[in-house]
Amino acid sequence: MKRDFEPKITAFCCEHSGLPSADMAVESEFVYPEGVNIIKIPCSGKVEAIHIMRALEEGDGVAIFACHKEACQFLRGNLRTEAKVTYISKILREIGIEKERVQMYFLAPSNGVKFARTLRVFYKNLKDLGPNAGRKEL
Amino acid sequence: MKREVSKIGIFIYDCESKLKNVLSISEVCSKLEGLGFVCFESPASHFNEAMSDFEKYLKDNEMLKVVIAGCDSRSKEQIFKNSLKKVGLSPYWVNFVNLNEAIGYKEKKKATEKAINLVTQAAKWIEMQEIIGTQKVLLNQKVLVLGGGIAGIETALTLTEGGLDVILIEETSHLGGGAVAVENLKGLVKSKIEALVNEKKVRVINSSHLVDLDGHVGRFTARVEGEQKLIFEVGAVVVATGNELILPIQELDESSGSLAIGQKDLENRLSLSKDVPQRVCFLIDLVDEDLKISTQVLLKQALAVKEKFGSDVICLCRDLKVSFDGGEKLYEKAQEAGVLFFKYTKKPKIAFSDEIVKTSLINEDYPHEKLVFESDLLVVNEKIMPGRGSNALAESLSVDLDSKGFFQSDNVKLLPTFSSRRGIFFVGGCRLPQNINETLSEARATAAEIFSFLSKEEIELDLTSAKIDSDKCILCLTCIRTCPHRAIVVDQEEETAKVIPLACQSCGICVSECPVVAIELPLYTNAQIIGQLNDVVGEAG
Ligand code: SF4
Ligand code: SF4
Repeated sequence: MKRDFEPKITAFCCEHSGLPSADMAVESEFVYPEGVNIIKIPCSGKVEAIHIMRALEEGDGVAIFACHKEACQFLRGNLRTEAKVTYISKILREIGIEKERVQMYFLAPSNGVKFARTLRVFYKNLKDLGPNAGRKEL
Repeated sequence: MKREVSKIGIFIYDCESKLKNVLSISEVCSKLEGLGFVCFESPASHFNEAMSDFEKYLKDNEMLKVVIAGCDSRSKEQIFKNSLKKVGLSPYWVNFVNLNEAIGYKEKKKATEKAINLVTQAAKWIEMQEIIGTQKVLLNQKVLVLGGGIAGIETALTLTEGGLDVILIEETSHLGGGAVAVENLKGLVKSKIEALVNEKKVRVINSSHLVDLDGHVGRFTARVEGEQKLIFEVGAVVVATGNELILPIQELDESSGSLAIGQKDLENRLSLSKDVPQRVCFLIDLVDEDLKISTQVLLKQALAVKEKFGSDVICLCRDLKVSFDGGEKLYEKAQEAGVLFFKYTKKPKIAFSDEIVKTSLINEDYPHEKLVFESDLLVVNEKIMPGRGSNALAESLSVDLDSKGFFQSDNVKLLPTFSSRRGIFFVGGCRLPQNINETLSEARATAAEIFSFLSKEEIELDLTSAKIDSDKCILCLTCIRTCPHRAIVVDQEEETAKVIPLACQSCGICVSECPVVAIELPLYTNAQIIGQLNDVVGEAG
């Protein structure tokens, strides 16, 4: 299994920027890695710490796609999430999981290219990190 | 939970055989049938055919909930929802899958697996979807407009065209706002004011201001003070308090007299054909460097002064922004006419003495050299400031100001005049410095938006808003503080926080902030989201 390790990524996509970008990426065939599970949420501010932790139990990395900082549909929802991500990276450090496994990215509503590129880079980084020790079935 | 999967229909369609080439739709279908869902594969190859297939499918099968999987289904959501409505299915009991997500997979087997995964996830999500209730709400059909400038007047007039009553509050003793001071707008403003005062549906109250706003969209209570104290019940509030212009020169004093004027003053002089002196120096970009409008006005005025009065015209600017329509041409024309342009990076020095303005700056080409210009008139672009009292007003409205102190729109991608609170709008210069045409169209668009939700006295509201479990709530007030739309209030009697459905925009921020997990968003429950995480491994892991 370790030999050809394929990182599993959960991507939380806010309905206002992440999701349209994801749709655009697949429509325009901007290739992003297999094994990405896209989960739609109304605003990145809806992502809870528990969702991120649970996603880490099931996979190797979590990406949160939010609107650009000044352009959050719901004003500051993205900033709250950013604070949450910082908080989570602290917990992760304590339990010995690389904090790089949780990333937050800011996107414009239809930036399929960036969406795909970001995920490709994230995928590669995860591949370098190796399988997530905190993952359930490992 | 009792599973009634047989009542969940799965409808899969292809576009121009895009999917067929990469995955096996029939395999997806048989797998889902195996899980107990009713699956239908549309043989259509075009969206329109798929649509009629879908309608037939709905008629033939007694479905409760549906998953629609295709290659562009999310963008076609509304069309599908409309046909669901026709057969009486709830638009909330449908979920969409974009199978394009599976297309990138190299192997057919993996792509098919991914597709199965996607559809199953969507089906599980919709399976958990509770029914969305509705609630009747009464709306107050009056609108409060703050500000009697051109933006406020135009909004009020358009609202009355739609049949709504308007209360217009003006701080000063007269209507017209900043536009009355602009010569070539006077006529327009006058006719608008006339129309307004003759309109029976509008009540104008001068010399007054808002002190407090309570309630929420559809039911605001506004306290107004001025010559008398008044209380109004309104359904929406429009802020049109405009902005102010100041000359951004610290050196101004008694002796400077009218040696330095703003672009707007010059505009008035030009349209009144008043005299302009022999030597004119324009100095722009002292402030608001990101505004194109100052360059636009500069070029127009410099050329006009040169052509009409034959003055010596010198223009000092940090950055000429000629990207507006015809800008490049205008610049060339001004140069040909003999207008001189100089660039500065360090702010020029200005000195007034004996009816003369001296402006000195560093020569950009020879930095050790100083350039000094003497002129009889200095024209600068005014700094546009938020209207006086914006701070206090923002506070009584519980809305935000941007970093420069203007009213902050909620989302520039939607109608820019939406504020963060539903039912409150910012129109005109109080939100963004703009020209008259922009203001007028913004006013009309906003009035139309208000009309679209206040045109009925009573509406039936779908309760997709956040829900607070009063048994769990410990009244810590976190949600009230974090809700960006002020949609949560304290219910004193029940001792719980309560969401106002009409004001809630279903963003879910309160849900993730509540420390005791007392809040749930009906269309995005925790169980639904966590269910999505489990599935990934369950199927494909
Ligand atoms: S979901 Fe919560 S935070 Fe968002 S608008 Fe509604 S009440 Fe406010
Ligand atoms: S955050 Fe939760 S516990 Fe606190 S007031 Fe709101 S609903 Fe009640």
